Amino acid sequence: MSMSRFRSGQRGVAATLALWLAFGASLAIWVVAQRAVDYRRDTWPEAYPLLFLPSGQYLKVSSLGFRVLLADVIYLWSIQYYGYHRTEEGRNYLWHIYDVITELDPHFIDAYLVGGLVMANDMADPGLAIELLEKGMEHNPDDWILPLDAGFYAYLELGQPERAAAYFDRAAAIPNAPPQIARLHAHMYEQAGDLEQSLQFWIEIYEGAEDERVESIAWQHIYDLRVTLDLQFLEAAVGRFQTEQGRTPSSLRDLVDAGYLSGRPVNPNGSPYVYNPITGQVTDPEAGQRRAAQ
Amino acid sequence: MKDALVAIATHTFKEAIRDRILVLFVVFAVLLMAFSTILSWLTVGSELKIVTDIGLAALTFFGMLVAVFIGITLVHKEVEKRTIYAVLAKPVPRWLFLLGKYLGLMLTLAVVLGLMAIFYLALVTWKGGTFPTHLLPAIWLTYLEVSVITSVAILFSCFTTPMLAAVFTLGTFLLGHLSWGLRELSAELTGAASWLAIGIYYLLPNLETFNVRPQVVHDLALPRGYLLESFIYAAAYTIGMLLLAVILFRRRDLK
Repeated sequence: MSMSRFRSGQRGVAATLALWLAFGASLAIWVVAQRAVDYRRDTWPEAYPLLFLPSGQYLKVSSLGFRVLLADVIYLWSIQYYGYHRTEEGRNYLWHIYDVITELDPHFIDAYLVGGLVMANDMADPGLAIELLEKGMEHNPDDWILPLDAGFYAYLELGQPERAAAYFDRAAAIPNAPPQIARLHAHMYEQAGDLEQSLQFWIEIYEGAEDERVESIAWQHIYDLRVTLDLQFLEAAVGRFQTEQGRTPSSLRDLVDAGYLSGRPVNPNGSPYVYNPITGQVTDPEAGQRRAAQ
Repeated sequence: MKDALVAIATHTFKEAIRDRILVLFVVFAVLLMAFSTILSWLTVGSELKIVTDIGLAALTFFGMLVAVFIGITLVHKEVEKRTIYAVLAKPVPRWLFLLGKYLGLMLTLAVVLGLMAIFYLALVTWKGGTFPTHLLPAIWLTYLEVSVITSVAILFSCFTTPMLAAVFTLGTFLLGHLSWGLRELSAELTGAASWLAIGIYYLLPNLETFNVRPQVVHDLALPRGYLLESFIYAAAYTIGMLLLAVILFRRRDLK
């Protein structure tokens, strides 16, 4: 009796083990299949993920009361998408995507700000960024960061100081707006397009930020301005090296060894800049990624 | 053993098909599809697209609801009505019982989705003038998606109450459509956090695998091998979930 119970117990353990092994095998197969499917989807034409996004008005009706949640999901997806797809197809759908998000949730300030950043910096279309921010101002007249951001793009990217002044006036008139805005306005005309001054301005906004959103958007601007300045400096150093040494540097290390740079150049996140010895261009390895405030 | 499997599957099918909730879901799906033709009058152009989009969404949504609400009660009902004792008293192993239940439910879903798909295809043919063969892969993948959801529902129904199983399965459905974010996240992270994100990504069902609606609606070709790979994924995932269900169900005390 006890022997048969022992044997049946052994059979039970063996069966459980076999089931777990079979589960492990099916897990391995589904991971491999998932990787194959992911590969196919990753290599689909760029337009594929963008084709199925109907208008915001239509989504508002069909989201069955979950339109704010839907806005969040599309927003999350858009950030990932534009992190990796800075292409012509992406540019064509850029307005549509952020228009849909802000149609679903007109008070989604981050969507206006981040959409503006993608449009102005990643897709080099500051005019479109200002258009999106204008939409944000219409729905959120009490938020000073929207006109401030629009003014910043007009000032730095479009070189339109009068237009920028109008936005800065608007931002400064909103209660709780930081006093730096009025100062920026005062010095704007003599410093139009000055990256260093703009960087200094955003650092002050960042340091005085009272909420996470302002801190985050200020950090994005600090990051982009810092990288632009660094890249200008590095490419000038590469140019000087070529002229004086009569050859192209094989790496950024050459510039350090020859005394053109004091150390290995890194971006504001601490990642080293990438140098291409064939083209002589220096790039930021994290370009296009939206970053958390430091 | 084969006879027992067929008997359990047939019994499950007969029982499920008589469920009133099933009829309700099918009627709602058909009404929604019919309503899409009215909604399409509100648009300028794209009328066929709206009918096609809503129909495919209705197929997926109601197919999922059928899978969840019938899947979660399968085991529980048998235990509650004590019919399971009569079945397990015969030489029927527990794994066979679960497999029979699953196959019966898949047959039910095939009939339900088939009926909805016939209505849908007829509607699109009537609206567009030609039979939309390009939509067939999306319908097939919807069936694969609900087969995965069913296996998850059965897994949860093996160790918890129908209410909790419904919540878990619906949660898995939502997570399954959002899990792509974990893959993107793992690319942004480094070290253990990145491994953890990718690990969870592979453990959750990636239901976006079965979402080719954006492509088929625009009559775009799917990559070669896509249907086969997604079928292998669905089959392996389903088998995995059923094996886990069997492991848990074998240990369950039914006294």
